[in-house]
Amino acid sequence: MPNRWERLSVSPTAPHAGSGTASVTAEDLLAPPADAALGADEKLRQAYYWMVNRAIISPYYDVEFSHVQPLEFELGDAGAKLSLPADASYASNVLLPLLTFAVGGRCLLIGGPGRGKTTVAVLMGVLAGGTPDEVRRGVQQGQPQLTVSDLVGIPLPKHLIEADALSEITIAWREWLTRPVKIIDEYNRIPTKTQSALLTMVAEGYVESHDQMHRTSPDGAVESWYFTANDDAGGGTFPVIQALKDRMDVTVQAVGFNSHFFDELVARVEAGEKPEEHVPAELIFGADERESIRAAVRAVPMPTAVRRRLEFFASHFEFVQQGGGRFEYRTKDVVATAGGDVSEIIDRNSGADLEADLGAQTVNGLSVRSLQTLVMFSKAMAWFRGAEEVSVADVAAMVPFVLHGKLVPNLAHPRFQPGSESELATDASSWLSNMFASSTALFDRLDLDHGDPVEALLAEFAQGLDGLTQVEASRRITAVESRIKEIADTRKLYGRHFDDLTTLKYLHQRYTAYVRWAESV
Amino acid sequence: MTLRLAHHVANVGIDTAGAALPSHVPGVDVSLAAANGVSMGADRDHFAHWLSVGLAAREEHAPDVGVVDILGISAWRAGALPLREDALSRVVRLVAGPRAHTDVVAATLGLAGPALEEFAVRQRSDRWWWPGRDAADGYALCTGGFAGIGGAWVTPADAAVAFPDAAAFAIRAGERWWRLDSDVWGSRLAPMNEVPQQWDTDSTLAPPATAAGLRPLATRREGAGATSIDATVIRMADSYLAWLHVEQS
Repeated sequence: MPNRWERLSVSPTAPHAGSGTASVTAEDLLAPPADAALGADEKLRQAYYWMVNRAIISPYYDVEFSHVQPLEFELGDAGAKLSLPADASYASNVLLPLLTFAVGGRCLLIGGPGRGKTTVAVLMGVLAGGTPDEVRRGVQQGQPQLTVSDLVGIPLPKHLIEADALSEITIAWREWLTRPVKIIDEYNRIPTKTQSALLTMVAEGYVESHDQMHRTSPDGAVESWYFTANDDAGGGTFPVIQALKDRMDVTVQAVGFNSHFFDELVARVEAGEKPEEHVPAELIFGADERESIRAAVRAVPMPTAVRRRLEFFASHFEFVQQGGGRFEYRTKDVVATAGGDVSEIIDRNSGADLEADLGAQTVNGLSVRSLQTLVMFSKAMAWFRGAEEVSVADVAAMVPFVLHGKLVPNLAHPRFQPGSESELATDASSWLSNMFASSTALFDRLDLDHGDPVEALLAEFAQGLDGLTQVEASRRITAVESRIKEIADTRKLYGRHFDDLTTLKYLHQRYTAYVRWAESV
Repeated sequence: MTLRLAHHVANVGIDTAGAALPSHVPGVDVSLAAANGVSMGADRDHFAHWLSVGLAAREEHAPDVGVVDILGISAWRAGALPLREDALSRVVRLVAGPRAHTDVVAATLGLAGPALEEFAVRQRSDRWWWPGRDAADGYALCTGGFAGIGGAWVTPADAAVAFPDAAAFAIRAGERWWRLDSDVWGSRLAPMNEVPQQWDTDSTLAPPATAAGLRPLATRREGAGATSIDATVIRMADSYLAWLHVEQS
């Protein structure tokens, strides 16, 4: 009887991924099998399709790619739409954990009990080479009495007795600490003190106990973390410390089971089978392979046009017009740090067009950490799809998961009030997708690919100051001042102008310093 | 609509189905070479056939011809387009050498000896030439085909433009553009992520269909003077395939 678990796709999962027409030589015909990472994207796609078709049974395609406008059907009378994208699309609850596996990231899986969150994480552990039993035993279960010692290990009693100094104590570190895939179940049931020890492991890659330090990831090795929670709004036994929440690279919602595939559940109940016990051997990734994958992902180029759109998106959110006195201090972070209400400050800016100002929809800006994570996962998405470079679609696909909980909505904004878009108040993913799409559309309307004065001034500065005459420097200073005046004359400041103006001030400072120096020699 | 699949006219009538790779070639992992050749676009059966023929000719006529030369030329013959420049340089070098080398190359390419010399010369300015092209009324290859039977397209091509800096075309089928790179032996049709810069909906209008139902979509002139050629992407009224037709300018 054929083993229903073992079926892997025999067709390439991404038909147009592969070699191009760049010239090669006959000697290349005898080259050893291509670097592991070149075939690894196909292997990871095989793993994805095995998981959605065999293991998790997830017939969802919420991460959509379509080179043309998707076919859409309006459903009901409450604005629901079902879209049919033209290109291969993916289920986020499997895709994002797999991308986390590829890059060595941290994935938070949220959703109600019994929705496969822990199963997905265990599957990642098996894909990394652990046996199902080892991986399951290594899952750290959050519970209110979990101490740091429970989590990391205890000193050997005989050393405690014999030691004259902390440095003489040997800690029996727990085995799970050095696994390539680490799983923390229900992390919002872990006491705050233990969360802090966890934070050190997640953020710094080491753990400390009785003055002994233990690295949790060997140098260069790829380690991935999976956390589960029933509620990402801090509704567990203990609130999750903000620093630990902020370390989550992606947040993914577990999905309900599609009832049309119930026969598979019946089969599993009858046979007593679990998907992690049937992972095909061909899908297991070795440590070297994972390192190659991470290197390949990092090497995926991000074209300037894509980077500019990401920069533009990030520029909307830091500024708040009445947040401070000095211009540079008119930021949401200044308000929040002072204990102020950012929503109220936004509301005071009666001259702004709240509909046009994307920044008015958030109570915070984007951190450097979240931007770097967005870049990394966008590269991972492009690599997974077999693309040669990152596209705007790759970035758009990752925004809802990377920025979930990082970019916080201003619920006082009219958009979230009862009305046609009020569902965005509870659906952060759709809201974030919509924000990125709006930002990209605005970028195109402003034609910033072809006419961005600040970028032009920056590019001119990037050529260097060597040999720059005082006359030319003065001309450039005038150009900077003129551009500032043009922005000032619009009488309406939006978030994107904040970065423009601080950049212009930066250029002004650099050129004036140069002129002072030139005059002194 | 006529049901046919993409192919190169130079391969018509040559049956290589099920050809076996040479079992033992000293110093060469033939399976590896075949796998790499396939990844470069070669047809495995064609590669097995031409490699076997080439090695047999080498053994009979000129054992001093390098095995790597045979590998490269046979893979190119089998459709590995990225090997074009390298393989052609090997052909030119060997044809300039002893007569026995020419015989080996001719066998590997499936060409008669005298035709090989003309082939090596003509290939410099006409990448789609082979001795049988005139008999094929100038048609070198067809591409695309109906997706339902293994082709690439769900609708026939309706527009094309030539790239100015490469011997390639962008062909539109439905709402998607595809890039076609090709020569006499091999081709690569790959989906494009954007509309080609050369496409201008106002000015790039394909001429109307001829009385025979042929609609030329785009023409590219290669070379200059007496050796220049016009390569044209043509759509036929009864086909999902797009044909590449070549004639002297």
